[in-house]
Amino acid sequence: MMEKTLIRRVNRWFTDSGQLTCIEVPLGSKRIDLVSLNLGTEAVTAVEGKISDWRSGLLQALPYRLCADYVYLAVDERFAHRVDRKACSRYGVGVLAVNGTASVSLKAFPSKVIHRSLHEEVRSFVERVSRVQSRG
Amino acid sequence: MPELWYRLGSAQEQGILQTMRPQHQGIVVPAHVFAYGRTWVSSFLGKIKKPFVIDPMTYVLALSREQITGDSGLKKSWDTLLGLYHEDVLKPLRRRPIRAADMLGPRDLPSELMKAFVRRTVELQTTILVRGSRSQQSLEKYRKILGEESSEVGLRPRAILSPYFHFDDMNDPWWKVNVQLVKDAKNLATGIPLYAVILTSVESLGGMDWDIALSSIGPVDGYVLWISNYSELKADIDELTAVLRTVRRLSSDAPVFILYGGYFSLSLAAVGLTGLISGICYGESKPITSKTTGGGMPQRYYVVENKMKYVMAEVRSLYSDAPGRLCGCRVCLEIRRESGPDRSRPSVKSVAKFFDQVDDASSKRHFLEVRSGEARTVARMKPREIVAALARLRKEAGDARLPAHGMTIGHLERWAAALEEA
Repeated sequence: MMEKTLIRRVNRWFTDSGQLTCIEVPLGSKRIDLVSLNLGTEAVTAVEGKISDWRSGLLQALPYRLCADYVYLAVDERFAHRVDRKACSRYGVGVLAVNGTASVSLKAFPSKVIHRSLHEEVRSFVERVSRVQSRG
Repeated sequence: MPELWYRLGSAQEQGILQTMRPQHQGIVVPAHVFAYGRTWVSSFLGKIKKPFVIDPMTYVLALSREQITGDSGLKKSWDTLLGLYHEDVLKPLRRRPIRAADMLGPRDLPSELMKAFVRRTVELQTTILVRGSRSQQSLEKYRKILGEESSEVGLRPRAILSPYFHFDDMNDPWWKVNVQLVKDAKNLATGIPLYAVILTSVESLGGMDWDIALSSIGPVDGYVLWISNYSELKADIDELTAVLRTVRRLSSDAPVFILYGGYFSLSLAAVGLTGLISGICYGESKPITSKTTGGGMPQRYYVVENKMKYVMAEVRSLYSDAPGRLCGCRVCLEIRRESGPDRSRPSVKSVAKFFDQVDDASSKRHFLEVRSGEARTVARMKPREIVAALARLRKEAGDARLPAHGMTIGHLERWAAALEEA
C-alpha cells in the first residue's frame, strides 16, 4: 500500500462518519497529512500516515498536538504490531491500523499542549477548504 | 572574546543588526549584495558604524553558471557585480566558468587576466563599492555645501579579502592560483590589512602541510577559513580535530576567522580563533555549490540545549512538553513580559502565548543575544572547561527529551571529544 492510499482510506473513514476533512494542512512550514473536524464537538483530529516507519511518524506527529485535540499515527495494518504503544501513549498519540479501512488500534488522549492560535488556524483552514470543495 | 561577525543577507536584516548592535563586532557584505543594493548597504554601514569587510565571492566564477542564474538569466545582483569589472576581465567571465589555466600562464606566471582580475577585485573593495552610488555622491556634494556632516560615503572596510577559489589540495592548480592571488592583492592593498581567504574541503585539511602552505602565501594580516562540504553538526571526531588543528596552526601566524560556523567553531577560541562569521540564525555551514542567494527560508528558533535551530512547530512542541525550559535570555524575557504576566513557572499556555509573539525578527534577535552570551562564556573558559560544559549540556539535552522530539544531541559528544585535544 502506498502512503497516499493509506491517507485516502483514513480520509474516507472520517468522511463516512460525517466529519469534514482536509489533506495536506499547513502548520507553519510543516504539512499535516490529514486533518478532520467534527462539526458537532468542534474537535480537531490530526493524522500522520506512515506505511511502516512508525518512529519517524511519531516524531512528525508530535507538533500536531499543538493544533489538534487528538493526534493519530496511521500505519499499514500489517505493521501495526511493531508500533511502540508506550512511546505513543506517553504523548497521547493514538494509532490507526489501516487495511481496506481504518480501525483504532490505540485510542488517542486529548492533547495537553494545545496552542489556541494554532488550533484556530487549522480548524478554520479545514472549514474554509471544505466549504470551497463542497461548492466545487 | 571571539568576535562575532554577521553576513548581511538581505535589507530586512539591517534593523536586527542595528537593534542588536552590542551583540556583534562586525558585518560582512557579500560583493553582489553590495553591488546591487549599493544605496541601502552604504547607508546602513554609515549608520551602524561597525567594522565591515566585503566578501568578493570570486569562487563562484569558477563554478557552473547555474549558481548565479535564475529563471530569467543571470541574477540581477550578479549581473550588477560583474558589470563593475572591466571588459577585459568580463569577456572571458561571461563566456564560461573561469579555469585555473586562465589565471596562470607558462612557468606559473600570472596571466594578464589574473592581473586585471585581482586589481579590479581589490578596487571594488577599496573604492568602487564603498564610494557610494552617483546619487549618494551628488547628495554628499550638497551636504558639503550646506555644511552638513555625513558618513554615508567614503566608507572604509576593516580589511581587504583576497580574491579566492576553492582548492582540493596543494597539488591542485587552484592552490597555486590562490597563492598568487594573495600575493598580488597584498601588493595592491596598501595601507589596509589584507586577509587571505582559504577555501578548501574538510577532507583536504589533514593532508595540508601548513608550514609550507603559509610560507608560500607569505605574511598576511589574517586568514578567513571556509571549509566547504563540512557541517560541524554532522562532522565526525577526525574531521572536527582536523579543523581544530588547522585553526591552531593558522592562528599561530595571524588572526583567524571561520566563515560559516556555529558553536563548535566558536569554542575554537580556546585554540586561538579570533572570530566567527555566519548568517543570522542560518549559514553555519555552506558547501560552495549551494546557490548564492536563496530566500524563502522558514522561520527558525535557536535551541540553546543542543545549539541547533528548528522550525517553530518543533520548538513549540519541545517547550510545551517542558515549559520550565523556556529561554530566559534578555530578548525572550522581554517578549514573555509583553505576552502576559511572566510567571516564574511557565505553563503550556504561556509557552503558546510566548511563541505567538515570536516573529522572524525576534527569533533572530534571540539568536544574536544567545550567541553573544556564548562568545563571552567561551572566552572565559579553558578547553577542559568547555569539554565539561558540553558534557553537562548533553546530559541536560537528554533530560529535556530532545531526542524524543527528533532533535539530535550526538554532536555535543563529538565536539567534546575533539576539544579534548585542545
